Amino acid sequence: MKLNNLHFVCFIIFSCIIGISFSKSPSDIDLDALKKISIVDEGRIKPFDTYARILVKSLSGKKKIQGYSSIQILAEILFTPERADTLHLFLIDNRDLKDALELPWEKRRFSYLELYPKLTKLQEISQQFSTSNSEKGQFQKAASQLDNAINLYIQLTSFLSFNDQSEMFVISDTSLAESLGVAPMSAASFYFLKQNSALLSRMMKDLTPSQTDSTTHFQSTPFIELVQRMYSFQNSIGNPPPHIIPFDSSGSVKWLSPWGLVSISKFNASEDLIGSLLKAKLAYQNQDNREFTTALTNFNQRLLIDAPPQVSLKSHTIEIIYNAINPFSKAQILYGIAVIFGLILTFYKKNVFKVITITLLLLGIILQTYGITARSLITLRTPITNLYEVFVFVAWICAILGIVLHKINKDFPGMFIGALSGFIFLQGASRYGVNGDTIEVLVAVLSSNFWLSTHIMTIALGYAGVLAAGIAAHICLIQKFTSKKLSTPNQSFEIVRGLLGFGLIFTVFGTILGGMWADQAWGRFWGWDPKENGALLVIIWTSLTLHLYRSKIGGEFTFALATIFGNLVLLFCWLGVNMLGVGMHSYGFTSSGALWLFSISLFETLFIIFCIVWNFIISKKKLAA
Amino acid sequence: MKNLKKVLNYITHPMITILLLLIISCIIVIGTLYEVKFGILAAHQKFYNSWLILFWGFVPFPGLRLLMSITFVHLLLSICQKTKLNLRSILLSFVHIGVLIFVTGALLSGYMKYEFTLPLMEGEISEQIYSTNQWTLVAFSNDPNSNMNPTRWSIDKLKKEQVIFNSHEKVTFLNRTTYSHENKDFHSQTGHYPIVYLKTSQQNEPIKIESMSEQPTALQLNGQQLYFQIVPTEMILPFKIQLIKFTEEKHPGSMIARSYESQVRVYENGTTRDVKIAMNRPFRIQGYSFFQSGFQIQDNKYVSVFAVVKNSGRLFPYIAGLILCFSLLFYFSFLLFIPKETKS
Repeated sequence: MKLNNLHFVCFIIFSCIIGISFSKSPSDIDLDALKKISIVDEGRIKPFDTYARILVKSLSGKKKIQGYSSIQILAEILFTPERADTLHLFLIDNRDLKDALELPWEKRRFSYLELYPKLTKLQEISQQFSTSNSEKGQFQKAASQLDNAINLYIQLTSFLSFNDQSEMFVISDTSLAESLGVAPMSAASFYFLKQNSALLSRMMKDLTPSQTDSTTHFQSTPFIELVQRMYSFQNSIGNPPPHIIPFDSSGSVKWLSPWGLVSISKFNASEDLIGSLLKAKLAYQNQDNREFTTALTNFNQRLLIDAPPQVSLKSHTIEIIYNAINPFSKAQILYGIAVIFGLILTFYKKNVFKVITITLLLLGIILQTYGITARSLITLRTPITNLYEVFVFVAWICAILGIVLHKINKDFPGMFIGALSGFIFLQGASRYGVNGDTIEVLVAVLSSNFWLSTHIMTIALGYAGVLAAGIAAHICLIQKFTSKKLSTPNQSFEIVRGLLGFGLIFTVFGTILGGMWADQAWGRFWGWDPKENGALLVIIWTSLTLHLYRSKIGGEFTFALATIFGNLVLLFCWLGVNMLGVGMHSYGFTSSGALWLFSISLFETLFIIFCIVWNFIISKKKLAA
Repeated sequence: MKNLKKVLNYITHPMITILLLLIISCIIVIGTLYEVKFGILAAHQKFYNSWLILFWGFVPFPGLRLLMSITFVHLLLSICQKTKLNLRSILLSFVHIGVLIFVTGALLSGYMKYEFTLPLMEGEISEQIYSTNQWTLVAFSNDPNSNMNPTRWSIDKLKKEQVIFNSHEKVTFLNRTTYSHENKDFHSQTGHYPIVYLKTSQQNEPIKIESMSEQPTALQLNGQQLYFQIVPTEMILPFKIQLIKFTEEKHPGSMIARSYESQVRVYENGTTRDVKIAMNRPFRIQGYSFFQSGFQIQDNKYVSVFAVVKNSGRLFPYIAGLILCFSLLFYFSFLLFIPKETKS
């Protein structure tokens, strides 16, 4: 196949991958207008599209359930809860919890209808452990998580339930029923009563003194009981999620849900908003696409007019497209395929494999570049503020370094290293993105775009260099022990030294910038904080390795081993310290990724041991010979 | 001369560099793990700011200060002995000079840097700051009829068997040691804190006074009740500071602080000025630097907590950083871009 045709085929495949991202699950209703609604969650204003993906992932561990996409599931929950109750949404993996709730072991996901009879038992278990001061075990955590998930689900299904007629608000007072224009003994909705709150207030004022007393205890009449129920119900509801309406509350902005808005006393000005949502619900239930889109578009437009000036509502187009493309997952797939072809290329030096590998690697880099740029535009800051983003950045740099290495020395498997590093670190990133939104808000101490851009970016560049050097050192050792010469041995070790030098420069730069930032924020350049110690250990180990090479102590074998060990040092100093849970860098504390870290560490340790033993055997053989 | 050269060669051997780097790494790893259990203050005292470490109470090991001193000597002699008159060697020497200045700064910082805290409630004016690592033993009386003023002694300056109260009943300072205090709410306050042992002429048993104890220790002396307490050493600033307003902004719909800042008024030499102190925006005056460290809520009012630092060696790491970064950059650029013939 000609090269031009091959490039064209790769481009077509890439376009298909992107195109599939925008395909929609079969449905009569177009949910684009729903995706664009802004919601405040975990401190960030995000589109419903993002919220839906996080919600469904956190409840079920998957993005699609029974053929429904995340946004479709959210629409079902909000507008047709009785249908949503049948979706197998709740993931339960803990066997002890399944035993306690008498659920079958073989099933992993359960619907709300299946769990409904077990709710009382679940609440008893959760309450029992919420009062205990001891650290929660797996069973307790699973019970607590499931309880929280179900509570959230119930709150979301009650999205517009204030408009549902309720037995709680039966209008038994005939004069009231007449004034309201309804039949006596009919059930009203809370919303209906709130809409007529002016009338109810007038009727309260007209009550004769004999019917009331000056204390809070009213003499019981059906009307007074109804008002009391309304009042206590309003107080008990509060402001449950989803918080989609910004409201000016005495100069400060509060985000309310439709329930929260209806509950506050002066909501008349916002009846348009509530009205739009109710129309949308009706349209969804009737599968009226046009009405549904119109109602939600009106809702969004109304919000733009009514929102307090301190709130700037965005269209979320960039984020919605970013969610649809999911660039990092796709880049990971492309890197993975590039690894396979890179490996084949190592043994069969055919141009076709080279073209495929480089094209896939480049496409992955393009996707990652898009993803990083999109995140910058969404957050309006440097896209390296949490571990997920740092992993993504490191993967990106390693992939680019792979292309650079290939340009420097075509015999050295630079593309293979780039693709492998990209794949591994994107896999690592996904471990840190399992628990929710990967776009997080910044804590106060990180609120400095300058230091974020300089310190974290340079440190990430440095770590990428050191990690790439470690992976390249594996290649050198494999080359040493096999008859396969990938490039001249001296060149291979020079490449490793170059990568290590690159890593050292930027790690030193980044650590010094970090010290300067700490001096500005905390009043001291260095405080022996675990995170600072980690960075220093990386510098010390990298310097030690370069000193070994320069002074020729132990030879190239020792240099390569030390470089690989440097990967272990870096991973423990970078990720392991976050698991210690102490120090000033508290914003990075997490126990996620522990298994990933353990797996990589185990692999590297076994590889080092294997190399030492193999080298010992070879040396013995040479001596014997 | 030959012997001197031989000794120099041993001292500046690259193996020494590698050994030093290895041992320093080990100390840092052990110190970091120690921090997890005993707190950062304790790790500073035992590992990072010490000359000698005693593992299990009797196994001696060089502390980080000793190791850095050895590193200093090794680096200095290596630079002097190995620098040749060519660009590559000079660039490499500059890299090591940068490291040398860092090591110097690290060694001297313990003697040049003083850290304090200053908690201020909204509306409160103060000129007193409280040391974070120096302690004072205070004796005072709660009796309004007593004419005794609070008496203070710096714990570091007390000598064994020193008589601190020389009246009808004497009080003698016996000994000072430390105990491990754990603060689960603020791990940064977990660490080894001083204990002072006193003895009175009436009692043979030593009286223990702990620094983080909430209640002072009462002693009956000369017919009156005296209280002894260990408090952070206070220092008086050459100016006053008043907290006008503390503002905390949270991310919408969450409890995560987006920013927090203090509006303060500084009274200095008859003049006043208003200043904002926030995260990443310190305030510097007369050699003191004020940083927004945190805040608390007390009696429905905000209490802003400032970290106050006086550090005459503040510029060391900046100078060292500049030298190190530029020389590293030039050195590796030289290796990358200069042809091999020119290099050799």
